[in-house]
This record gives sequence, structure tokens and C-alpha cells, in this order.
Amino acid sequence: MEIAGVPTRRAARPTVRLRRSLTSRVNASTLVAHAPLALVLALQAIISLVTLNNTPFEDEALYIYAGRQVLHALITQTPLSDPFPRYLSGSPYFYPLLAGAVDGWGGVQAARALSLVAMLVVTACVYWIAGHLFGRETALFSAALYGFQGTTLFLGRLATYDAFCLMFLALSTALALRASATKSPFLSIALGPLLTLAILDKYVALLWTPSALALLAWLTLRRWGWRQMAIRLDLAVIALVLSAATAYAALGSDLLQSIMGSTTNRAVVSHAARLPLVWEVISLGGITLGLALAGLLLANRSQRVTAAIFLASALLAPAYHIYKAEPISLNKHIAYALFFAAPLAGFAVTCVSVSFQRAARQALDTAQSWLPGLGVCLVIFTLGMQQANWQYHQWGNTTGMASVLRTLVRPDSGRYLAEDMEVARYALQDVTADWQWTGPYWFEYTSASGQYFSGVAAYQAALADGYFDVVELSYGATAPLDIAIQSELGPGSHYILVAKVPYHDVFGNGYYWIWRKQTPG
Amino acid sequence: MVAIHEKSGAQELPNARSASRRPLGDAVGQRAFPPWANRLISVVIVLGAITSIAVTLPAGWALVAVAVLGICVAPGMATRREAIVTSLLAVAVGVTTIDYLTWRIEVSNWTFFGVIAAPLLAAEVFGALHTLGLQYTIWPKPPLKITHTDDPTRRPIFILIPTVNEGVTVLRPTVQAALEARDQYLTAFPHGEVVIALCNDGWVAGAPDWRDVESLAQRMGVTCVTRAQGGGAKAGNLEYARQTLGATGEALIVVFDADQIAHPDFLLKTAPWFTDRTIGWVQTGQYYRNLDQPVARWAHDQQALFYKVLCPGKSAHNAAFICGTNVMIQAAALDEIGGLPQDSVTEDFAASIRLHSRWRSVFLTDVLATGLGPMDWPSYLKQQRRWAIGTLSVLRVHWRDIILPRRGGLTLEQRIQYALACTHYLSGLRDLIFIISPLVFLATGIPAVRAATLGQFLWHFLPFWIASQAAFWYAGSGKTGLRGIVIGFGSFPALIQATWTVIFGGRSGFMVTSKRRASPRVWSSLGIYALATVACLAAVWLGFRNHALRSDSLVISILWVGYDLALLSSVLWLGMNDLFYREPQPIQRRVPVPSGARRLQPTQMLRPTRRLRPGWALAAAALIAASSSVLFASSHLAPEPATWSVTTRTASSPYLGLGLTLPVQSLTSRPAALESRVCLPFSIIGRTQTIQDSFDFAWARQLAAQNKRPWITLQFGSFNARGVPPLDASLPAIANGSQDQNLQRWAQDIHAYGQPIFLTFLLHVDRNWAVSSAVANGGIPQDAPRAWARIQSIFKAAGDTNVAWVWAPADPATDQAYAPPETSIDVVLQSMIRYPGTPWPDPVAVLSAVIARHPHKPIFVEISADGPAAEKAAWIVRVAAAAQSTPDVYALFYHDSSPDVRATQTENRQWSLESDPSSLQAVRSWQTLVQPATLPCGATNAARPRVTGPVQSAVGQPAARVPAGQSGALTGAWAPQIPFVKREPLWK
Repeated sequence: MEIAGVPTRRAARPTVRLRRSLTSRVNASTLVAHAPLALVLALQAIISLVTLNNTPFEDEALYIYAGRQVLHALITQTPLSDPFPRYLSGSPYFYPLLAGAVDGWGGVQAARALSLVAMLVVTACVYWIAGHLFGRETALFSAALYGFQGTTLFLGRLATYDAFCLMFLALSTALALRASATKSPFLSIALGPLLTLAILDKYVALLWTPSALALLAWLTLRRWGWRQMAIRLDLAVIALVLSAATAYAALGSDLLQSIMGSTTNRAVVSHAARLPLVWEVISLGGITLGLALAGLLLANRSQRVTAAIFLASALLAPAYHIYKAEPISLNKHIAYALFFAAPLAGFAVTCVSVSFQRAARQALDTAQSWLPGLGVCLVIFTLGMQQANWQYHQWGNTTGMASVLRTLVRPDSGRYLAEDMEVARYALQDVTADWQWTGPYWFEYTSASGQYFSGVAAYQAALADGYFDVVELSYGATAPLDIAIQSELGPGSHYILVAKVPYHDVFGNGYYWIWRKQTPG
Repeated sequence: MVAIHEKSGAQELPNARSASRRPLGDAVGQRAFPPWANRLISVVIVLGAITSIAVTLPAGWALVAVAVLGICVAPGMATRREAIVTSLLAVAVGVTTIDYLTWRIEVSNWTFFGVIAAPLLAAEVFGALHTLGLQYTIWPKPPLKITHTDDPTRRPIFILIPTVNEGVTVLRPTVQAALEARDQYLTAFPHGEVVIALCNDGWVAGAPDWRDVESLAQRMGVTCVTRAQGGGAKAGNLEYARQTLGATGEALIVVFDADQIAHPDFLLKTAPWFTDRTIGWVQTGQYYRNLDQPVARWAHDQQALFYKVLCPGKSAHNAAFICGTNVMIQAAALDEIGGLPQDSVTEDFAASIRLHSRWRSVFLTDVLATGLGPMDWPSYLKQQRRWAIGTLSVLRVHWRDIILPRRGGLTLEQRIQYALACTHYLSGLRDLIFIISPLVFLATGIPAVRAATLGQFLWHFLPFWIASQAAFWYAGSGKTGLRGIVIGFGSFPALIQATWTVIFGGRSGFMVTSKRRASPRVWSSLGIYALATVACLAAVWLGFRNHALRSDSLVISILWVGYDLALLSSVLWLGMNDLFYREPQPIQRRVPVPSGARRLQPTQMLRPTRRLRPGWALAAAALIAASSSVLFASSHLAPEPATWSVTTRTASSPYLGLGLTLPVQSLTSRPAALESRVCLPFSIIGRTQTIQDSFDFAWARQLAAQNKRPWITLQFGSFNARGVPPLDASLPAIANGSQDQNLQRWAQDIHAYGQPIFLTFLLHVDRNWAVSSAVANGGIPQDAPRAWARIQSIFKAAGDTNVAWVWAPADPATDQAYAPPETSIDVVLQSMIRYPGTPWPDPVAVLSAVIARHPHKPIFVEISADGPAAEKAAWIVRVAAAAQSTPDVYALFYHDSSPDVRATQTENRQWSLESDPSSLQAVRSWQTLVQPATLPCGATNAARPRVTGPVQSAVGQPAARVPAGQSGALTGAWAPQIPFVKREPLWK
């Protein structure tokens, strides 16, 4: 005779155990299945951390310094000493703030670590997107092809807007795919805030906003039809508008001016010939873009429109730069292009591997089918490492220069003219204040006699008056100015050359020339 | 075993199961490119990879990338683990080889017209190509396709056993085994026909026992064909027997050397392959059974590498050549080329090249016959020389067939395999170059590479070495061992000799490998290794003595020579073992005559009695490398003895309590000597150091043990030759933290010292002669307090409470513009330096002024003078009197040398307190300032000179103010107490 309840309990226990066991098995197998991604990410991180080492780039120094200034202004409720919102290409209240806060804790390496994490997330998104569209093998190839790109590695070690902007764009793209696949339409609402974050981070993300929306629309249309497409697209657009409006309300009219000034109506500072730009695009991303094109051609009819959206998105940045003849930041924006190209490139590599696998089967050969994929990834890896290294050493190490300047500057007194102002100002922020620094790009000066000068004349007049206490020139990007003012630093001037600090970058060897105002004694 | 896969649909796809599990094609569509497209893609990818590696030189990263990418990618697309690992390792070897060779060519030193660099580079390229060749050979390939067209069991089989002078003792078991193999075969195929024939060349060779062979054949019921006309050596003998017996056309011919004992399954396992008419021959391995003999044992491992690793790979490329014995050949194939070539000592190899364009070959890894390995070291060298001459001669004769492609000729794969085989024996030259190169460098100092650091070398070479070693050991695991490598290296003299013979001509007739040990012992065969060993040791000795060699290059060379020494000593060890080897029992008792019970068992390779594991090999290599490194490091890279160093400036102007300048060499001995001379106890000993120096623990502890206090003046650098101080000695630099690291080090050391100490920074900061000046070199007065605060903050952060801070401007009476807060000063230094020709400073006035500026601060008074003896003595007395009468004066010092850091010995003497007897006597008068009990020479008050003069009367009431209990500690200190003795914080 059974006692009531006991058999039920006895029966229930094994069921629970079974479920737990099943769950753990599923989790374990899922982990194993995605272990290759972990390896790719680990290698990407290790290469970035081990091979890319240099002092801060001027953009890094500018953004982090701006972030610390913004943070200080917010805490002390004081106005900013520099109108950062007017000329930065992203909101200073977003990434710079974050980078500045992290820099205060762990220095530039901590800020760079943030970028690395962001780029690893982007690679993971590439993996997910490619897997979602084409399968796991493609996902792996795509992740490897993207993770080892020179520009990817470079951005992962650069504390600038780009890594975070790209991360939000990647998450938006992945979310668009996910939202189009779910039964409920409400996931698409999250697309709006994500895209807004990407845009706030760096205004250039506006360029790819239509891509995410187009993917959402097309994939929803294919899967759920017109009605669902309209609902989800509307939800996403409304969410985007609302979040953008919220941001505008919070940041004020500066935001629109910044977007126009730094991005949409940006005046091209240094025009470049278009052919070299094309060549730069080819050298930095040509293989992957070519493979992406092959992927488009190899795609099934049902995948072709999706593939076309990806490829078109990939070509947006290069096309824009070539059209505007704008070389600045092209190397960084290639990473955006390759993010969209990587899934298609991975797909093309997978097709080749499958073709080899079939041929191998016919020849009873089992070992070679994976070699094409490995070969392509190896090519990308070796080129990527070198390109990243090249990009990362386009600026000289400023440790020596900053050390010398540290022996010359004083807190709250003295004015310093530095060609590498952003870096020097950042390196000496514990000693000097923002107002003490003058850069080589613009300067106005009124002499003791009341005469007003601007531009090169202003620098010359100020040096003639001994206005600056320390002068640093490196004859780099502003060499014409340096040459124009160097006569004011020679014998008989107010200045004495105290140090010539050598540096080396990918363009060759050079010196940081440092003068100090002569003092009696 | 090689599996037979038939075209008729019975083929087994090893990855079929996994392919069904992974519908990859479904995910990406069903496209398969045409073969030409696949080939084109392959070429593009391979060329792209080679180019990118050669251009970018990723070094170790390439290995990491291959490993990671391979692990990621390969398992998803293939299923055979062994195939994946083998091919992945091969890719790794390929990638790292390209990287290393490219880098190596870049850094070659082409001076002296590459006399040193070129041979080494050639040897390295040769080695790398053969490493790549090995990987190419063992690259996983699909199994051989066999087409059933014939029943081979209906074809007559002739087992030919050529013999010259081996004797019946060796032959009997061979014939017996052949008979058993025949029986086994005929049991399975009763309709078969097997003829066993002894091909007796004894008469031709003049062997005394040639008739015994005929008798043996008669007794054992086999045929004997005795040749009466010589020529063609072994090939001629075989060909004569073949023609005599009619073993042509449809026949299958088996060749066993006289010592090769067949396994009963031999015919059963080899004959079926001839079901495919295109199969020309089936070769099996040549393994040794006399493994208790050292040389045979080691040679066995070398053989195993060839037969167990290389030959299966060659077979997959349809390039397994005839090895002369343990082989079954279609007679028709031999007919086609007119029989075995008789113009070569390696007739088998030569025949293969001629046959391979039309006939296919098979290699079986089963051990289907065993023979006798070289009985001793000379036999081994003779065997290697013969093989080397044979294959190199084939290269000379058949180079066109191997190198130049032609229609109907060898395939590319076959040509590569033959090229590798033919050039293998050039490795003797390679090994010689590898031995000589580091010796040449160590002896001459001329490097083979330039502009490369040890790190770069290791970063490029180690991945290549690791990948090739890993690939080799993976392929050879359980098949060969370190012995094979060592004995292969040991054959280099024979191989060089063979190369010489082939190139320049010489006697190279066919020589049967002896089946008996040489007697007596042949020591001379080891001479070359002993000589090389001595040369290596001598070169190492030279290298250590040659201090002009770059340490990077030296490390590499020493490691390299260490490796050579390991190999050479291993060969010598083998040679010695061989020389003193005693046969425990007759060979024939160890011959494993097949028995019926074993007949159907799978054939197994004979296991050596002892195996040298790769792990041990690696451990040995690591040990050699480590010991070499330690040896090197201990002699060359070890840092100089850890003596603290002081600068010239420091040496010339240390301070000494109560006077005196001392050179640094006598810093520890001079105070005691002076104490006894002037009969005064010095309580504070001062010195000057630069911030880059180390804190002298020994000196400070010695002072502490003598109840004295150290006083250190730290300067932030020295003036350069142009009189310019270093930038980081400036006050802004100090204030902004440029010296923090040095200061932290000092702070930590002084904290560790733990005893009271006086420290002076920013000496004479108010003057332009100071290293850290507030009035020159960009310094301004406001910088001084900032710098002072920064310095103190670092010592405070380090927890230093044993420091008394001595503020030492040149003029403390008027230092308002420079001085830090009074609370941060423990002691003020007042210097009174009297230069010749200048007025004598009035000590009372000076002290009054400084006390007025720094009221209630303890004062250090430091004096020094150069002038007429009487005036100097009087002034010293006046200063003492003033100090005695000024309560704030804490200590009185005499600076016992010239203030000029570049002063001569004579000048220093003039500034010394011993400059004249009067001055010395004046200093002795300071005895009145201290307690009598503390005087080192026990002077009494009555005997002591008195401090006299107008100053004393002016100041009046001198009084000893030595606190109770501190008399020893603060001798001469009659000033207010500073609580550092109680180790209380000095920070106010």
C-alpha cells in the first residue's frame, strides 16, 4: 500500500536531477561549441596588449583630458576652460567622461583597456551576426577575419571614441537581426537608444543608422511580412527619435552644432588625392572587402538582399572619404566598414572550404578542407599585425619629451607653446593647468604695445616678447609654422635650447626641440 | 597497415560520419567549385600566405596564430585527429620556416664577401628545406587506390637471396624463414608457385666457403645459382639468377639480403597488391634484430625514422623506392628497363627512378623481415658511406629526371621526393658547417649575422625550432628516438667523404656491410669526434676570454656549441660503448625464427630493450642550454660586484663632524685617526652624495655602532663639462616629481636604516653655483619651497621618522625668498668659508644674524679656511668660542678640504685643519667644548688647552649642555636637544 505523497516525491526527484543534468550538459556543450570564439578573442586581446605599446596619441590625450576636465567641471559646477563640445567629433559628456574617469583610476592603459573590451564585443557581435545568417563555421571565420584586422587591433588599443561607437553600432546591428527574428515586436524598441548611444559617442555613427534600420525592416519583412515590418520599424524609429530628443534636451543646442561642425558639415582640413585614398582602403581592408563581394555573389537568392545591405554598409565609409577626399580618420573608419564586410567575407571563406571539403571527400582526402580558411585567416593575421603596428607607431614616443617638460613647467605660472600640446598637456596635467598651454593650430596675441596679432604673426610676436616660458617643437604636422617661428628662438632671442629629445616613428627619426626662456643668473 | 580502398564503391570515407553530423554544405549552399578553381584558390592562398609572412615577419606570433586558428578551424571540418595534428604542425613548420629564413637572410653578415655567412646560411636553408620536405612527405594523404584487374596468386614467385661471403651461419635462418613464408603462402593459395633461390656470388668474389652455400641449398631443398662471371655486383648477381631461373614476364620477384629473415606472412601480405597491374613493387621495411649491440641499436632508430615515418609518406606520393631487400617486384617492370641497373652501388634506387614514371609503388609499414644492423661503428660508417655514394651518384646521373619536368616522366611529387632522398646525404656537409660556424665566430669574433639581438634571434628561431621539433616528435613518436638523430649526426665524416668521392671521383665499389665485428678495436674511427669536441671546448674558452664579443652573439654561440658538444659526446659515448661491447651470446640464438603460433598474428616491430623518450631528450637539451646559460651568465652577464659608487664631486667634498674633509676611500678610517690626533670625539660624520648613488648602509651602521650620526647632503646631479647642471636637477623638476623615483629609493633605504640621520637637500639653493638653484638655470625662488615640500612628502610617505632636515642655503640669514616653512626645518646650516685674501668672517655677527632669522632653530656651524697660520688658528678659536657661547649652535664642523671640487691635493692641504701646527692646536682647543669623559685620549681639564680670545669674553658663560645620558651620542653637541635620539617623529 502506498503512502500518499511519497511516490510523487520519489518520482519528482529524478526528474529534477535529470533536468539539472541536462541543463549543465547543454551549458557545457554550448561553451565548448563557442570555445573557438573565446580563443579568437583571447588572441586578439593578447596581440593588442603585447604588440601595441606607445605613449598616448594626440587624440587620446585630447579626449581623456577633455573627459577629466568635464568631470571636474561637473563635480565643481564650474564652466569648462575649453569649449570641447564645439570641436570634438563626439559628445564630451559621453565617452570622454568615461575615459577620463577611468584614466583617473588607471591611467591611459585603463582607458585603452576599455577600448579593447569594446572591440572584443564587436568581434563577438561579428561572430553572432555571421552565425545567425550563415552558420557556425562562417561565424568563426568572420570573427577571425575581423578580430585580426590591423584597424581592429589598432582601435582596440586606442582610447578614442571609435571603439565604443563601433561597439554600440555592432550591438545595434545584432539587435536588429535578433529583433527581426523574435515573435514579439517590442525588442525593436531597444534599437533606438542603442543607436542614440552610438551617435552620441561619435557622430559619424549617423552614417550607419539606416543600415541597422534597413536590416530590421528587410529581415522582418522576409520572416513576418509587411505588417510586422511596419510595426517594428515604427517602434525602432520612434524610440530613436525619443532618445535623440532626450539627449538634445540634456545636452542643449551645442549638440546639433557639434554634429554639424565636426561631422555633417565638416570642413575638410587637409584634402588628399583620391587615388591614394583608394589605395589606402585596399591595403587596409581590400582582402576582406573583396571576400565580402565574393560572399555576396556566392550567397543564395534568399540571402542576397541581406548580403547587399551589409556590403553597401561596408562601402559607406570608404566611399564617403574618397568622395570628400578626406584622409583623416580613414584608417579608423575602415574598422566600421570591415565590421559589415566580415560576415560576408567569412561566408565566402566557408564556401571555399566547403568546396575543398567536397573535393577532398571525392579524393578520400580529409585533411585539407580547412586549410583555405586557415590560410586566409593567417594572411589577415600577419598583415593585420603589421598594419596595426604601423598605425600604432605613426607618432613618436613622447616619454622623453614629457620628462624634459616636467623639469621646466610650474603650476599656475608660466605659459607653454607646444606643438604636441595635447600630449604634453595630458602628461603634465598633475602640474599644469589648461590655460597655460598653447597649441600650434591657432593663436591670438596682443603685444605689450597693444598691437593685435593672429596666426603665425601672433606666435612670432609672442616669442619676440618672451611671452612663452617654454617652447616645444617637433617639426611634424605643423612644420611650416615651426619653420616660420624658429628664428625667434635662435641666438639673441629670449630663449635657450635646453633639450633635443630624439624620437622614432614609422616615418623616420626626429627630435622634440625644447626651449626655455632665459633667466638671469 | 595500409588499407586497400577499391574504386568499386567499397571505399571508406573516414570523415563520412562527421560529415553527416555537420551539414556545412547545407548552411552555405551546395556549391562546389570546379577543380581548376580550387587549385587556383589554393595557389593564391598559399602564395598570399608566403608573401604576407615573408613581408611582415610575424615570428613567434605566426606559431601562436597557426595553433589558435588551427584549433578553432580544423576540428569543424575534419575528423581524424592525427591528420589534423600532423597537417597543423606541418603548416606551423612551413610558416615559421618562411619567417625564420626570411629574417635570417635579412640579418646575414655579408662582409668578407659572405665567407662566413654564406656557408652557414646555405646549411641552414638546406636544413630548413629538408625539414619542410619531411612535413611535405608525411602530410596526410588519401590511401592508395587499387584496381582489381588480376589474381596475383596465379603468378610464379621467385625468392632471390643474394649472397657473397656472409657464410652459412647467416644464411641458414634466412632460407629457413623463406621456406616458412612459402609454406604459409602455399597453404593459403595451394595453386601458387614459389621458388627459393640462393644467388651465390661467392665464387666470383673469391669467398673461401662458396661451396658451403651450394651444400646448404641442397640440404634445405632450395635452388642455388652460382655465378661464374662477375660484374654488376649485387645487381649483376640478381640479374644473372633472374635470367637463369626465367624469373621474367609474369613472375613476381622477392629479394632478401642474406641476413634478412622473413616473417611467415611476408608473401601473404605483399603478393595481393599485385592485383593491380600498375603496381611495380611492394617494399617493406628493413629492421634490425641485433638490438643488443649498441651501434645496431642506435642505427635501428635511424632506420625506423626512414621506414616508419618517411617511407609511408613517400608511398602516399607514389614515390616509395626500392630499397634492395625485403621487396616484391614485378619482373615485367624490371624487364622493361633491362633488369636492375648494374652501374650503380644503389641499383635499387636507380631502378626506382627509371620505373616510377610508369609503375606505381607500395610501402608496407609492417615488420615483415628483420636483418642484422651494422655490427660496429666502422661498419656503420661504411654502410652510410656506401648509401651516400650511391644516392649522390644517382643524383649526378639522373638529375635531369629529378629536376627537369618532362612529358611521361616523374610527377612533381615524385621529383620532390627523389630530390629530397638524393640530397639527404649532403647533411654531412651541413653538420660540419654547423659545428665549425660557432667555433669560427668564437675564435675570430666575426659574426655570421649582424644587427640582430639575442631577443630577435630567439623570437624568430625558437618558433621555427619548436614547430619543427614538435612536428618531428609527433610524427616519430613511438617509432624513432633521440638515438636516431645522434647517430645520424655521427655519420657526418662518412657522408662528407662520400660527397668528396662523388664530386672528385674515387674508389666506390659495392661493399657488403660486414656481418661480423671488426677485430681488434678500431679507436681511430672516433678520432674525428674527439678532435671536434676539443675544438668546441677550446672555442668556448676563447669566447669567454674575448671580451670584445657581443654578449648576444656569445650567448647564441655558447648555446650552439653546447648543443654540438652534447651530440659529439653522445657519439663518443656510443663509440666507447661499441668498443667495449662484448657479445653475450651467439647471434643466431637470438634470431626470432618464425613459429606456427605467430603466423597469423599481426606483425610487430621489434621493440628495443631501452628507449630514450623524447621527454628525456628535451630535458637533456634544456639541461645543456641551462647549464651553458648559467656558465655564461656567471662569467659574462653577471653584474659587477654590488659596490655603491660615489661621484668625483662626492669624493672631493664629504663633510666630517667637527671638521675635516676626507676622500671617500678613507671615509671610514680617517675619523678615528683624526680623533686621536686632535683628541676630539666626532659625533656627526658628514658626506655628500648624488641622488643616483645608493645609501651606504655599511658606513651608516658603522657610525651608529660608534654612537655617531651620519649627515648626508644629497645633490640632484653634477655639472657637466660645460658647467651646466642636468635638467632633472632643476627645482621645477624636483617639485614636479622628476626625481620621485630616486627619492623614494632613498626614503625606503633610510627608513630601513632606522637610526637617526641628518639630511640636507638643495644645498646653497640661493646661489647660482648650486646644482639645484633658485636663481639660475631656469629656477626661481618660489621653486625652492615647492621642491623642499615634494622631497619631504616622499620621505613622509615612506614612513621616515628618523630624519632631521638640515636647511642649508648659502646665507641663511637672508633666505626669506627661498626658505620653506620653519616647521619643515629641523636644523639650519651656517657655513663660514674664508677664502685667501678675504676678510675673516665674524662668527658672532654671523651667528647672531642667522639666529635672528631662524630663532629657536638648532644651528650647524660649518667652517673652513685658507690663510696665514696664525690668523687661521685664531679664527678657529674665535669660532669655537662663539659657538660655545651661542645656545642655538648644535654642532660645529670643520670642512677639511677646499670648497672647490676640482682642487688639487696641495690646495686641499691648505684648507685642512692640519694645514699648520697652529691650526691643529687651535682645533685641539675645542676639547673644552665637550665633556672630559668623552675625550678619546683621556685629556684632563687641567691639561686641556683653553678656548681663549676676545670672543669668549664677549659672549661669556660658555657651558657644556650635554644632556644626561647622551654624552656619547652627542659629543660636541651642546645645543638644544633634537628628539631624534628618542626616535620620535621630527615632523612638527
